[in-house]
Amino acid sequence: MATPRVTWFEPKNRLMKLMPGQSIQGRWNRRSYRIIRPLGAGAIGTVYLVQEGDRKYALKISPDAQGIALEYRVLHSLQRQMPHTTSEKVHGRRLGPFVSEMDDVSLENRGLAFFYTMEYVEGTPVELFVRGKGITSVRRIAVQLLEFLKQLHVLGYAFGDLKADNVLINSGSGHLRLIDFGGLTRFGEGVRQYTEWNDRGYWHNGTRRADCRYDLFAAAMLLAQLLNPYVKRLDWKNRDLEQIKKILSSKKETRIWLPVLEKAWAGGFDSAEQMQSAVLSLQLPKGEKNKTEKIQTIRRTIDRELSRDWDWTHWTVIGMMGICLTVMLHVLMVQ
Amino acid sequence: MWEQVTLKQILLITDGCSNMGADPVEAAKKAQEYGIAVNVIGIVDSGTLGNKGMQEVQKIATEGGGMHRISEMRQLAHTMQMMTRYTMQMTIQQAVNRELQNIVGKEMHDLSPDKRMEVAHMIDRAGEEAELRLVLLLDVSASMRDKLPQVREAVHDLEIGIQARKGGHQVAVMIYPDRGQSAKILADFNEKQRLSSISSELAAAGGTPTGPALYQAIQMFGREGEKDYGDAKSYVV
Ligand SMILES: Nc1ncnc2c1ncn2[C@@H]1O[C@H](COP(=O)(O)OP(=O)(O)OP(=O)(O)O)[C@@H](O)[C@H]1O
Repeated sequence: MATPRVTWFEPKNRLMKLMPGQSIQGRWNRRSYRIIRPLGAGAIGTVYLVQEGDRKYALKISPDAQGIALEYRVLHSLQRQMPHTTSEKVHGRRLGPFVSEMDDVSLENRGLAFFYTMEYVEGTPVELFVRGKGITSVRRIAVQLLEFLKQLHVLGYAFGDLKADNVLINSGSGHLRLIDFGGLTRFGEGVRQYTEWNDRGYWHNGTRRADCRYDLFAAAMLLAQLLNPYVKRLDWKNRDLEQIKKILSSKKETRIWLPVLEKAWAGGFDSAEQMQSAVLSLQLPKGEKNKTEKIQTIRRTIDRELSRDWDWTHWTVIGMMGICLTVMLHVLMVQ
Repeated sequence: MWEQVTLKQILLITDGCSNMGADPVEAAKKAQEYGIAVNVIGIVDSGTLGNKGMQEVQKIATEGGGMHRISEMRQLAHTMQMMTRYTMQMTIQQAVNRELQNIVGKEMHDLSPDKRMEVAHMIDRAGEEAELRLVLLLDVSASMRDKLPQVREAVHDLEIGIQARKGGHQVAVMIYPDRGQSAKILADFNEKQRLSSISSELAAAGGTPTGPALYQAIQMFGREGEKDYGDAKSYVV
């Protein structure tokens, strides 16, 4: 389902093949990383899981000095800017993978290769995740995604290349993380990297100039794809959103999303926050919350209650429970 | 300061091998001498490109100081857009490298990661703000004909991308062959493009005079007088 795409450094990219067990040492900082396994490859480079001492990192390596340096710079500056914004993290999570260092290495017969290391983000690609959990999981994903976009937009950047591959969900916690910040673009400039399916310009729905609505459009395309993967398998090359609308309106649980998606497609939301509230106020059909979610809600309520200062309501509840117990015991004993 | 820099590119889109007139590789070399980068996209869908064609595509781009890609029709739009962007950066990077070499005897690769980061940022800014002058050279010989609606769509898409940049742009569109000769100007720089006419003004001839067409594309820049590939250079420092 992932659309094949042009790989820019394709011919040289293959040369960046590194073997598990192999170590590479940076020319400048002399830090040494042992390759564990490849994590993936993309337009700019290849990403490996690596180890330094007992710490694991994701290492992105490429013959493209410019691309690597730019990406590192942008992640680095996000990292520096974050503490100045109101909410530093989403529930304790960082906006981008935490970057560690940038360096280069001279590979035998292959010349210089440029790399940077970052936090290894563990997670399942969002499309796979939703396929496993069902589309009831989409709302929580949307809310988290929009929370990240909200933060990014405050800093004056659009994410740019927002697509399914760049969204990972931790299957344990359900937490969402974004990876691949190569498309990050300052508002008002031409989007650095994009994917046609998620690109507003491609769908004749606006410019390719970065603003918050650009990301919201891409987010809506991503949500449509999560709600029904079939929409992407259509012949969408005629660039007609109507087709997608038709498919999503054929089922109740996806139809409900249409007003939000259509508004985002039309550029109707002024901010990620607005779109987020629209998502939160969707009246999803009953049975939407599955059991584990319900239990979690109850548990969270109890936690919240317990952490509050105790007042007479708590004592009343405990008293009532005590009375109930006594009555029940009494009844049992009598029988 | 980057607004004052003009980057010149020719983007050739073809699906076959040249078979008439001057050698396109020589033409590309000439373009590079004038400071014009030549990018080439070889379309594979119809299969007339073949091995020989692919090699030619590569050679033209190498001598022209540009990039080449073998692409399927459905990837054409994205390929054109990314190629144009990367080539702008590459051209600036080369200029910066030359300058670094002059001043400190180093290339970008020799800079420490911190310094390199700043240079990369500067190059990126330059790519965003510099003026772009682009000639699209489209092969419309027989085998390309049924792909023209898609080509038109892709050109439109490229425009969306170019318009989004901060820097100015001028795009000219040429098609070849023109009645069995070389290229014909569909839209000059600054002229509103008449993309819709790409299909209606098709030539009947079947030859593929890529070389002569390239020379004509070079003249598009030449007519404006200058031969100033040093201009990117003079603003770095
Ligand atoms: N920090 C990370 N932690 C875990 N996996 C990662 C991390 N960064 C990247 N990956 C994996 O590597 C793959 C390629 O990385 P990335 O998308 O950053 O490369 P890219 O060259 O920018 O590609 P593209 O722009 O085509 O998506 C990702 O799809 C993901 O699977």
